[in-house]
Amino acid sequence: MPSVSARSSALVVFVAMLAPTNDARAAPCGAADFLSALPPDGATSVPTNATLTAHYAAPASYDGEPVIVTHAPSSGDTPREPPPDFTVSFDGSESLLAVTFEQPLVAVGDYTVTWPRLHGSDHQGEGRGGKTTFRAGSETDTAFPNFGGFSSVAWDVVRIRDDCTDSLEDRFAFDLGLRSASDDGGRDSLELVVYQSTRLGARGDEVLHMPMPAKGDAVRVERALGDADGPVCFSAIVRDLTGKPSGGDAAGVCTTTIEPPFFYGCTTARHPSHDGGRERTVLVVGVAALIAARRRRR
Amino acid sequence: MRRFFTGLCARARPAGIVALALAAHASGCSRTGLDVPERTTHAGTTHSVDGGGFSVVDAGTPSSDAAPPSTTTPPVVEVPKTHRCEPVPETCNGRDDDCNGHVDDAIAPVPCSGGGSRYCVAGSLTACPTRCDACVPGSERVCFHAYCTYWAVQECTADGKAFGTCREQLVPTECAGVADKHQESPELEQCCIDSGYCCHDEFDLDHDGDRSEMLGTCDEVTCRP
Repeated sequence: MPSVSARSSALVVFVAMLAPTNDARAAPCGAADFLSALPPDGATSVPTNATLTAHYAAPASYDGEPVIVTHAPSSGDTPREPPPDFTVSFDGSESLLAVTFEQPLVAVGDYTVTWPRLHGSDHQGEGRGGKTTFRAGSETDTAFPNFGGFSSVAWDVVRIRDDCTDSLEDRFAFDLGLRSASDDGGRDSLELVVYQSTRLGARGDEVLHMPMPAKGDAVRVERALGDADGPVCFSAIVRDLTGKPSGGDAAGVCTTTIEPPFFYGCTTARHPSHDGGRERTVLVVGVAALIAARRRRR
Repeated sequence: MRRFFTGLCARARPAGIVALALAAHASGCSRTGLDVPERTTHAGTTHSVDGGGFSVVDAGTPSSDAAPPSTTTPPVVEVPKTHRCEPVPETCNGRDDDCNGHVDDAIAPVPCSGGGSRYCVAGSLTACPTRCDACVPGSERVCFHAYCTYWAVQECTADGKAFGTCREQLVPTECAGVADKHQESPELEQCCIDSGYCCHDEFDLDHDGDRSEMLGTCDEVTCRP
């Protein structure tokens, strides 16, 4: 007769078998979450002719959800002023929500922007919204940004747990070193747009856009294995807060990837110092001892 | 870093690299080549190359690894004493058209009909952006197995970069007979399409040579609006 604990275990297993297999991923996957905004949270000296943008996880859908902008003079004691007039536009191809003011920003004024929660496709739920603050400067952004491009590329294959498929997915991960970038509106308010092609000079496809990383930081681009196997080149531009791009002569980088599984060759046998030699010796001695013991028993 | 001469400047094909550089100079081409990174060592799964790129060099100064001119072959292009740049409006071509010392600068983005813009990068305009890389996250397409029910479904990954594993499912009633009779076949894919599903084009039913695409009702799956 089975014990009580054994019966309980059997019941748990039975219930688990009846449960739908998708319970582990009941939450919607790939939601259109707020990712970042430009100018970034806490930015200062923002040009007075800046357009504010928020980047959402793609593909996001905009259905007139309100963007709330409040403004107060920098001296915190003064009551908030009426919200400035602005228009909201949405670019579905880049999942970018943009706020364009009808009048220049008030110099040295503090602004708070509440970015709405957006929906994704029918398969996705409502994503997260965001909130950013910034302080306007007193200058306008008039010059095109400067950008030196990439200085290096290194790649690897990474394995990620995917929320939608509930399984492990492999990706090529490219770490791209950045050269200098500057703009009269400030480096921190630049947006980096990365393009991939099979050779430099060929038409590139956009694979990433994000706020400019901090100085010295590399940027990581992840690609599906089938989309980056073999010769891969990356080029980029930066955009400032008025949408002006850097020149097209920024340096690109190229590399050649190999799709896994990797084969490293028969190098193991060429290393006599490897501990495998000792392991083999122990194994041979062990087998010999076993045979000798059996013979003694007979 | 090796430099290879390409494009309009290379078509002149004078004898010798120096002569080519001079010809480029004389023709107003300020771009003399594309930097092609040399192959580097493989270290495990990480490969690195030095910063190659679409760079601009002075046409009058051959790169340091250029071969010296032959002593027996005189230059075929006369060296201009003073080079005059004729300014024209800057266009996306990898050259300093307006003679301001910068290549492809101040070029306005070209708006795309579906949103976003094309930018001048490395001497050519980029493609228009799409709302996702490969598929809409969480969307599904039908794929086909060579065994059991012959019918399966792939779900798009959360980052929209690829489809996940092809997981077997029961065949819908409208295609059950086709699956029984033809198994994994063009007929089954056609039934999938005709029944209103988004289907992996494994059998290239549209004869475009692309077996990785999808056919059928794919508006909610594909990245292009």
